[in-house]
Amino acid sequence: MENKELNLQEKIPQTEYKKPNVFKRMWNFFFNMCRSNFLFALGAIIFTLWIIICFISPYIVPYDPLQQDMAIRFSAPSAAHWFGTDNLGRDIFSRVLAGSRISISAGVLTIILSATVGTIYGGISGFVGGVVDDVLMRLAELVISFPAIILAMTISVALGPSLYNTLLAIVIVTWPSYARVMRSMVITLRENEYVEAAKSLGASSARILFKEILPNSIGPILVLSTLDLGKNILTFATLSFLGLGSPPPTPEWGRMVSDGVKDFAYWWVSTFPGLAILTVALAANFMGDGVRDYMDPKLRKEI
Amino acid sequence: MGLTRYLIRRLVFLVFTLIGVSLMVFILSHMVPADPVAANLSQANLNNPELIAAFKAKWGLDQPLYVQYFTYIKNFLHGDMGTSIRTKRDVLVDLKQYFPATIELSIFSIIIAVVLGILFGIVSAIKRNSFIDQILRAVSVLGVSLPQFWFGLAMLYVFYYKLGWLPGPGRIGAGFATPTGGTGFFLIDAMKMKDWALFKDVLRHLLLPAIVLGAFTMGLITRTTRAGLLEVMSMDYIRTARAKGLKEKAVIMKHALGNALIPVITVIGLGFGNLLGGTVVIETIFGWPGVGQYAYKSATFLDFPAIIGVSLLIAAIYIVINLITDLLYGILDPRVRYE
Repeated sequence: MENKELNLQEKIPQTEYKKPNVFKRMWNFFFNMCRSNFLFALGAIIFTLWIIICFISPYIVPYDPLQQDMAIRFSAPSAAHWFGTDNLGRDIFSRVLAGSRISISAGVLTIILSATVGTIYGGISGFVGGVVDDVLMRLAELVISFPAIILAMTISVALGPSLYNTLLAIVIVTWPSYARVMRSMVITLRENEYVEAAKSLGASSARILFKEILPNSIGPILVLSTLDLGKNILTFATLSFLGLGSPPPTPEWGRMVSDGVKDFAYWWVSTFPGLAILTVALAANFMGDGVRDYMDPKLRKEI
Repeated sequence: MGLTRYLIRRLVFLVFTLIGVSLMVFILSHMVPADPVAANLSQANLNNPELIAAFKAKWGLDQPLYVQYFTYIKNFLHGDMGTSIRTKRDVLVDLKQYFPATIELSIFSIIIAVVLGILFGIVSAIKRNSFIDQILRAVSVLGVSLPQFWFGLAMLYVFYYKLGWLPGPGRIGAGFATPTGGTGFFLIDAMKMKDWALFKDVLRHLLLPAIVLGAFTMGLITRTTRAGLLEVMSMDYIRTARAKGLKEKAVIMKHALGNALIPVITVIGLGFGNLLGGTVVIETIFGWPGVGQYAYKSATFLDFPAIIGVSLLIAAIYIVINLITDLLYGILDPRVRYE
């Protein structure tokens, strides 16, 4: 009897309403999307597989991706070399696996950085308002009013071609869309009662921005991130193809495709790294499409 | 009234954007530790202090950066965009030469993208959730997921190298002389010359790069058309049209499609901008003597007078295209008010 009462009391705090945290909400959303949308689930599975490959590639590559062997250069796909070998006799299968590390993390990293920069920038712009807002937003629009790939190419060439400068260039062309979304969220949310309440309780501007407004605008920012993921992976691959990624021996999908340009007849040199880019971009876009369909209630009805 | 004010505001914005773009590229170009004097003058002229002084004075190189920028703007307004370090020619002359090739390719490409995209979108929406809808949706996602450089190489390998159905890189075959129509648009030039063998050859050369370049935009348009049509089809006036006994084809073609295509206009504008960016890669792969290849070569050569010129040209096209789509949007959808 006594025991039971004790148990009951222990349970009470657990049944209390607890605001689910952002990560929990994200996970629930992800899980529901996977259940209701086949293509989203497919994209998520492929993408997860590639992420796993990123982490374990050093342990599963059959050959050293940098090991050259001129005796077997340009050998066609075979049991020993599943994807064949390239112009320096390196195993392409190993290089595709190893190349996932830079090629995929470049896309993910540039999205995270762009979203962070854009969110802070747009948050400040929307929060301060007035002339500051006008000037900041015109600056952001300046970047948008220009084809991204050409701007990124110019920036990365001007800074000197290197992996970091190329990533920086991609961030420079990507962040403004996040700034715009964040700004419009701030302007809408600023008028809400709970923000008024926080203000009247004497909360500082920074607290209102980070504690009240930011958690509520994370949704649209995440949607945009999902939509941009495939695009940024492609942009990085393109710049890498143009020779603006890391220096040559490092395996990188875009550059590996360009390795095959000169020796056209050996189709496998370009084909497999290209297929790797395609599968990752497809997976990312399947997820992005699913999220966009979900966000558009008119399309949701028909699912 | 509203429209005029709107137009003026947009044109002012166009000027400001161009100033911004030029400023941006100008600052970028001066972050590079390269000596423009050494890059621009030949070795012999470098020993001639008078020439060096004249060159420095013309571009204000001994002045602070902001003075140099104003000098550039002043020269630009006089139609002088500087001399390309790489080609040793006037940037303006270079751009005039390469521009038509890019525009011909882009327009051909956008036509393919629009026709296929709208067609796929309509079929996809009509046969919603059927097998063919799934296929077409997959194709549209594929279109936006293909790495253009790789797709271009694959198409060249299959249709040129293996099958030999289509010609390889370049604008015209080896057996033809450059058309002398004067427009620089080879299709139009060939028509003017009534040289139909040449016309066919130019067309065949255009096909592959145009398809590769347009795949992305085609995917976007398919998606937007499908979504737009599905949205419109659920409206009351469509139900009315059906209720009065119209055939389904008439309902879609006469009543639904017009409204469904309005958002597609915006996507076409966006797609065209994307196309311009894509020309960098496509023109490099297909040996297409256009502005994209010029931009790439200039960038890798740190040829900044050329880069600023190309950037300004592309930014201008991009903004004008967006302005046109916005205006079209307003004409097609009377609910849109310019403010």
